[in-house]
Amino acid sequence: MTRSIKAGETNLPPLGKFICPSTGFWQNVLAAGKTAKKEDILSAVHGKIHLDNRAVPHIFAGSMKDAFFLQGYMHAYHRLWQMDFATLAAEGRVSEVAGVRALDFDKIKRRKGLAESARKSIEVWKKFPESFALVESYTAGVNFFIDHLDPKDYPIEYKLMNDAPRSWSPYRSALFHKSMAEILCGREQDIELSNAKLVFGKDFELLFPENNPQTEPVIPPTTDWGFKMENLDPVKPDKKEGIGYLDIIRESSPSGLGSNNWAVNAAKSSTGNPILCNDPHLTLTLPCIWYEQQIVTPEMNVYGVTFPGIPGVVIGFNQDIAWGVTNAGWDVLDWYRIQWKDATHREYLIDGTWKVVKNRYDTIRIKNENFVIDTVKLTDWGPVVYEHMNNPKEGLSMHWIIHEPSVDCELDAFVGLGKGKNYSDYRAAIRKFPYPAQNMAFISRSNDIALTVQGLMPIKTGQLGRFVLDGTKSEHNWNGFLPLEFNPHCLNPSRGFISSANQKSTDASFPNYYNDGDFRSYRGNMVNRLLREKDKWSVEDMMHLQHNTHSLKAETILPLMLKMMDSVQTDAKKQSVISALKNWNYAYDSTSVETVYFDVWFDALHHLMWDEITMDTSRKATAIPSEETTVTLMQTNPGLSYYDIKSSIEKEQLKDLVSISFDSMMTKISTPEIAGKNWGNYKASAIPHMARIQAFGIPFISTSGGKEIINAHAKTFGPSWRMIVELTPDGPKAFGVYPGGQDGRPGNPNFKNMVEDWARGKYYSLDYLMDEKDQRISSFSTLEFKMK
Amino acid sequence: MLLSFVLAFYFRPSEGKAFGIAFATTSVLWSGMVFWLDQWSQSPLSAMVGQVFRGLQPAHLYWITGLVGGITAGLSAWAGSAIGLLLFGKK
Repeated sequence: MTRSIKAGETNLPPLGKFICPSTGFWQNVLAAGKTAKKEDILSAVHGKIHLDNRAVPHIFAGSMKDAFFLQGYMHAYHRLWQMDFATLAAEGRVSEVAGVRALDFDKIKRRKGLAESARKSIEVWKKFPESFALVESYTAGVNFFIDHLDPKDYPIEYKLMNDAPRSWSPYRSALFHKSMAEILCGREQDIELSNAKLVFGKDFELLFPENNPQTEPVIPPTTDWGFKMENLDPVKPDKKEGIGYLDIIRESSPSGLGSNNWAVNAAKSSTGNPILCNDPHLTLTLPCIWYEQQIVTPEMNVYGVTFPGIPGVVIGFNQDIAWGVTNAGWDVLDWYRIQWKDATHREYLIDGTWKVVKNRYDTIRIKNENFVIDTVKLTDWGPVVYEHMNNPKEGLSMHWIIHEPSVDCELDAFVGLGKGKNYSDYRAAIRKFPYPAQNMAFISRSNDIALTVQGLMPIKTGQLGRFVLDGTKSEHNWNGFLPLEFNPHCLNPSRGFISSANQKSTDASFPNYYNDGDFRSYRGNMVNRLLREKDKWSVEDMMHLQHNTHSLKAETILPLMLKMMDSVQTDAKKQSVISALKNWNYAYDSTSVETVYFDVWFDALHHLMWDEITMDTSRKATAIPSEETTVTLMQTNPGLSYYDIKSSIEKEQLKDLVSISFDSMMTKISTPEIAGKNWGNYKASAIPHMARIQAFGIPFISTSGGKEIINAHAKTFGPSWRMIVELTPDGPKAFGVYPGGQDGRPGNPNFKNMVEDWARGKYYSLDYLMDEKDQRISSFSTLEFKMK
Repeated sequence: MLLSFVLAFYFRPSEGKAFGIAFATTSVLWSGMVFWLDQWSQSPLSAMVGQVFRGLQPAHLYWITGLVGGITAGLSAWAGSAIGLLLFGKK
């Protein structure tokens, strides 16, 4: 009754303990129905937390330390299990909770080195005592909550997993930062591009161009970058060719993950006040990754969204400034092919000498079973992630920016922004943020608008790091980072707006190499087009813009595809689809069936065009040209040899591919699974629970939008937070919403209360309280912290 | 559970009677308690938990709670009675 029961690979909770009315899940049911109007809490700090009707805590404290204690407390109050589990996953300890089925997951995490990186960061943070004191205070707040938590009140996930909360520490906050870095700067295609270079040979540059001339970069062109590469002693590109195909198939992230931000200055605002908008696109889960908070101290009054697990407000505003972030997508993870001396893999070659690997022995505890000792081999480049390759004498080591030592207390960036009053404060604050590189948009009440692509950029030239590098030469190591003052940035551009949507940071003139990251053009181009077309913008206009569903990809290529179908004989059913597409407005609306037709058609066409890869199982580890590049090639290369389908004896041209993929689309939309479905039903978005407990997630939600659309809600990811801030002389007016709820405990009234409103495009007015005299507080619940 | 054991140990009814009384009272008590608690709370959590266990309804969970409590209490009472009778014979 008190031990977990194994059912196959699943550990069921101990039944007696789980179902007992006084200790089991019924206590969570009871707690879900309680609402306290006021509660006094004896602790080591003074302060008050006013919870509004959406359970957003408005923290009032006399000092920064007390404020961060209370922030930690509230993060734990509402999101304890989420913080605990997220950092457990980052550390590679999920096996302790989920059993042996998580073992491979844990091994990969440990090889990636997030835990090592977090430990190193803490040693650096301690060198900044004032900053570290805030992190410690945050930690104390979390632990204060945990220490006073009765086991009967554990979040239900703990009870289901027969688990208990672990105490918090600054190390765990550092781990959380690394886990975000993994999501946002842990993606690259070095292995797949190396293979593509082998497969496509001389056509590689045509099919995988580094620059798309049609891209409007984040930082407007013709900016003077202020430096020359020859002064920076860059690493020279690896010239070694013909290394051989790397048969390593990796799980890919959903394509299209990204974010939007933009801002207009007073001249482009209908009220004469600058407006900033941000919607970060992340994998959507319950609880949501974001948590709203306001923190008020004598030094700071900031509101925004936070990450449960780290102190500070990550995206937000105060009376004087507002800021938001999107991912810059630089390539800061490189792979090095190492050469083993022999089958023991104890020594690897570097600069003509055999060097002994360092072994790190990780003990991985497995729930209800014995532990496993995993050996991680460490080279000068970093951990060996792939030890056994097709060629037994080779392995792959990873060098990732998070393995580089910190130079500052990164979390201070958010404290600095929270206190910031102007452009100088913003620039000073963000300097402390090393990775993941972000496009940090900014507005001030004094009408400055700015955007800085902030992060450490390795000094590289000539495609270095775009492919797997020769790890036998130490000269291929990174040679430092670009001085931060040279990072791409702009202030008060003449066009009156700044924007970013995961497109390339700069045009091709930027001297330092930061490809081949994750850059996309359609969303950014669409945002810029619309911002240019309209002279004056209001907050309501911005809401519509964040929900814009126009597909620039469809607008660009569909006319050509339809024109090619003019010469094809079709029946009435096909004609009806063609006619519908001809009348379509390129909007990815949930009620649209034309969207389904186009999306399925283009997907089939893209897949068919690169049949050299997609239909050859021996080439699964090879990159294929992006959809953007495919569109460009269709427009500009009518005679490309790749239009020919390898498996057919006919010699196909582009119009044949268009026609064949159209037929394929017709077949697919006639299947029972898809027939008659509109875009919302076909896309079938879902918001699963973080631990994939189906009952706690939302299995289906119909919304408009899609990848590479401004409203970027795809199947599994989307706008995880939507924020619009207008800085007026009387204080900030802000609106926001996210797909979830403040309370991370399933079954609570605020668990997923905002999802429907978010799906319908509604925003909440954010209650920015100037002080505790605000009348709105009288309707809030209050937790008052008094010193013991 | 401890109470069932102690009472059965003290009053020393037959094992079957001990089990039956403890089972009946505890199962009714537990089922009633969680029913009331669920109704008062108005939370969807019991329905969500039911889904975790392959689509059980909240009513099933009330009965299962009562059953588990009843069996546990019944076994405790049975043990208390058995030990009491062994040591001290019938009351």
